[in-house]
Order: sequence, then C-alpha cells, then structure tokens
Amino acid sequence: MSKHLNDSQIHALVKVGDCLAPGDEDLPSFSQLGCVEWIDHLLDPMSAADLKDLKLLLSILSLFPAVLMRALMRFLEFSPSVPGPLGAPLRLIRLGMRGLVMSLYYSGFAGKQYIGKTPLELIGYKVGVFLG
Amino acid sequence: MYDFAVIGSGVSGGRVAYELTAKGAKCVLIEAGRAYEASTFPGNEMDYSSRMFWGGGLEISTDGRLGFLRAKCLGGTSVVNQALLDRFDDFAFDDWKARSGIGFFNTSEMTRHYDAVEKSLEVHEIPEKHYNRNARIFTQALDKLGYGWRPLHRAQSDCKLDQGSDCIVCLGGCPREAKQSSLVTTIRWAKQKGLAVESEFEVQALIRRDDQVRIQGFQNGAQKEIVAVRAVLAAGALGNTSILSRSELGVKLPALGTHFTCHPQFMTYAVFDGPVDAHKGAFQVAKSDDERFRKAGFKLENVYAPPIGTAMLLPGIGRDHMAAMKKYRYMASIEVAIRDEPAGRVTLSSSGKLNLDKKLTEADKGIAKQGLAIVHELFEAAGAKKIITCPQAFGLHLMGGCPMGSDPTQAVVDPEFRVHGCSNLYAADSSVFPSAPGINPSFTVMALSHKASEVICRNI
Repeated sequence: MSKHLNDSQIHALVKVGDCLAPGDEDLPSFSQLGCVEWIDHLLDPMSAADLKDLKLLLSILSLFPAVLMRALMRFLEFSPSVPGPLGAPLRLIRLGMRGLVMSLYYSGFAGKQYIGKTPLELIGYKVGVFLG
Repeated sequence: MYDFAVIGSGVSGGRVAYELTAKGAKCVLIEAGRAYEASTFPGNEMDYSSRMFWGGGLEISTDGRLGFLRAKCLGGTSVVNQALLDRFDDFAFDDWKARSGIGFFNTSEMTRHYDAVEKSLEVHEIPEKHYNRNARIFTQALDKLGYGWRPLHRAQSDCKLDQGSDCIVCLGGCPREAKQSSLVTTIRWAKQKGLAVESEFEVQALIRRDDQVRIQGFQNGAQKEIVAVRAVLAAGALGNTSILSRSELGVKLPALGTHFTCHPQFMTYAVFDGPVDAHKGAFQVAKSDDERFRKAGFKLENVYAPPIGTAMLLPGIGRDHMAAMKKYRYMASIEVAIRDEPAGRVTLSSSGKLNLDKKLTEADKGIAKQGLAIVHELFEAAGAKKIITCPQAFGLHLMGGCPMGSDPTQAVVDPEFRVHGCSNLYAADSSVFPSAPGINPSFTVMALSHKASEVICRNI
C-alpha cells in the first residue's frame, strides 16, 4: 500500500489518526475518510533521517493497543507544560503525530472508497484566486 | 568560472544576484529547493507545506516548544510570506549599532537603500473597503481600547480582490504573480540579464581559497561543484550557519551560530456568533502601531491560518478538537510576535543534523504574556464568545547565526559584508542581524543586500 511504511506502521498511523480525529455526527473519522492512502504523497519529500525516525516511532506505536494509544495521545496534550528532559521528546512526538494526521485529514484528499464530502469541505473552506 | 555564486534565492539572494548581474558580473544563483512557477505551485496546503518548506513543513527547536517555518523553493520565503515591507526605526538600528559597532546602522544612512528597493517594487496598502471581518474585529477593537494601528505595506500588484481573490492561497505561492516575490521580480530581471540559476542544488560545503570558492553539493542526488571567484551566502540564519559549519570555518568563527532569534509568534483564536470568514479576501491587512507595545517588546497582527495550520495550532484532540475545527469560519485570530532576546544557538550534530537550541528566556515569556493579555482584552471588547490560546509557538523570521560586527570574536560578518577572515565570502541576509528588531525583517534584508551589492562592487 505504501512505498515508505509497512502495514503495521500504517495501522499504527490509522490508530493515532482515529484518536485525534475519531469522527462525529458531521465529520468522518480518520479511518473512514481513508486519507492514509495519501501518505506517500506526504512522505515523498521527507528527508531520509526524518523518515527513519518516523518509521521507528510508528513501529513502537504499532505495539500499543487502542486503549493505551488513546491514553498516550491524551497524555501528549499535556506535553507543552511538561518540564525538563522528558518534555522535549514528548512535544516532538506530539507535533510529529499531529503533523501527519492533521495534514492528511484536512488536506481535502480522501481514500478511493470514501463517499461524501471531505472535512475540508465540511468545515466550509473554499478559496480561490482570480486568474483573469 | 563565475564572478559570483549566490547561495540562496530569497529576498537577499535575489536582490544581490540582480544588482551584481545588472552591473555586468557573471553570476549563478544556487537554490536547494525546486523552481516553481505561478502555474506549478502545488496549491493544496498539505502539498505546499511538505514540498516548499524544509523539514517537510516544520523544523522544531530542541526543546520542542518552537516550530520554525523555512521556505525551500526558488524565491525562498518571499514566495510564501505576506510580502510585508516595514522600515526599521531608530530603536532597532540603535540597538544594532551598539551591539555591532557598525556606523551605517541608522535610519538616515539606510533610507537611500530602502528607497531604491521600494522604487523597484509595487507596494500597496489594502483599502478599508477590502477588510474582511477578521481585520475589522482587530482594528475596531484596537480603536475601542485606544491602541494604535496602521495598514500594512505590502509588496504586491493587483490582487483582484474585487474579483473574489483569497490571499490565503498565496501562502503556497501567488498564482497570479501579484505578490512581488524574488521569483517574479529580482530573479526574473536578473535572468533577463544573463543570471544562471541552479535549483534543487543543496550546498554541502565551501572550499575556499583567496582566488576562488568551490561550492560543493548535490543536485537531484548527484554530486556537483560550482566554482566562482566570490560567493555570497544568502541561505538565511540556518542555511548560512550550516554551510559555514560544514565548511569547517566554525573554528575560525567563534560567533558562528550565535544570536539566533525568530520573533516567536503566539496565535490566539476567538469564536464569534456569525461567520468571520477570516480566510477570505485580503486576509492580513493591519498591525498594531503603538509606542507602548513597541517599548514592551511585542506587536500584534491580524492574521489567520489555513485549515491544517489551524488544526496544528488549536489545542486538544478528538471530538473537542473537531468541534473547534467546525467553527473554522466563525473564528478570528490575532497573533503576538515578540522581540526575543538573541540567546538562541544553531549548531550541527555529529550526523550533520541541525540543532536549533532556541529557548524562550524568562524575559521573552514575560513579553509574550503581556501581548497575550492585550489580545484577550481585544477579543473581549469585540464580543468574542470563546477565546482559545494556542499552546504551540512558532517562528517565521529566522535571524542571526552569522551576526555582523567589527569584532571577529563576537561576529561572523564584518562591516564590509565579508565573512571575517574570508576576503571573497559575503553575506547580507537575515543571518547577519545582531539582534531581533521586533519589526518584519524582509524589507531591511532587501535594503542591506542592496547596500552590500554596492560595497562588494566598490571593493573589487
């Protein structure tokens, strides 16, 4: 499915995605949207060193059951106020995971199986530039 | 062999390349990013963030508290910024003069360079009839509480706001070429006069002798070398610092990587009853203009972020976060940008990765707190239903790392824009700033680059 991530890493990313964007009465969940199909599009420009770090992190997260994953994501929300040497890696993980999930979820792209409006359309984001 | 190789193509690189080429020098402009055109800008926020910025969109400080945005494309940050042109005041130049011992850091000597640059660009203010509700909330609240503000000077031609253009699109490059980026001004003009451009060329190191500079790097994965008599570093605070460090000049330049500043910015959103549509039309038009704020060390701007940026900034996860995002059209935002202390340091790790050691000092935190308190006051005065403070700060104005000054133990670049001890290596971009001015740096980078071009030509 992905040239950069293996199946378990993709699965971990979808689990993280569903913690951050679980869906509600108006918006689809991250997994329902199927936007993870665009992951290579997002990762193609990433440096080899960053990609290596990301794969390691997702491989570790793939071992987390859903309950523990939700607890971790909630805990990471407190990372901006965590002092000392523990705070920095927690904030980096928070930013990294949010960056991937929010970029895919609000990109306007969806999976092939998804039927319906994307979150970008549902929040009312419509812009353009007059080219005449 | 070229007369000059200019490394970096933002407002400094573009300006220097144009001025030198116009004077008859044989120049090459080297850019690590891709050469987009108006018709090939990615357009989609995910695409332009990941493809037109270093770090796949964001670089992060070692403590994880600051995110940095640094463009990686031909034209550099001028392609993706808001093209704001602000002249420095005496306060900023006096501080630079005191820190650097350089006499030309004063408003009267710099006026000629600002004027020359401004004359070459289209500069507009957005008329009030085009202010969207986000701008009106900001300016009316400032008026109501007795704070000063003024319209922003923007380097742009006709944005066709009457025809429904939404300037937020241009954060990924302006598709109608209204924004006066280096890409459509200085670089285009210089190419017409014979400038060579090498894009997607990532410079690794410089091998310098007194009669030539060999610029080594990779272009599309293949090793490449360009040779010039002289080189001008215009890759910004992080680019210049890393290139000089990899060139093993760091040991001769004890101040390399020091004085790193970024005008840390803190966004606050506020939810209103009806649609604000802050993303529509001319989305950034005004800033605070108040002596009290200037003395305190911050300024306020009316600005907004596209959806992915907003999703990154808003706190929380899950349904709470989604509920906030569903209010995207109902939110206004105001940004506090602070004049931070020059206490940051840029270094390279043993693996060659950038370490951005940029912590907010206690003084920085105090200034941010004052600014954020004013923002809350403004939103309350405007009738906001809910105010959301964002936990993540970010820096767009990356400055220092190669500070300018006459003392080689305290500075990297001398008063003649030469790297100390290197007769044929120059810099005039934001990396040479001795401290954070607290004012948008772009115009002053252009003016310094204009001056540097004159000095370089006079000295050779």
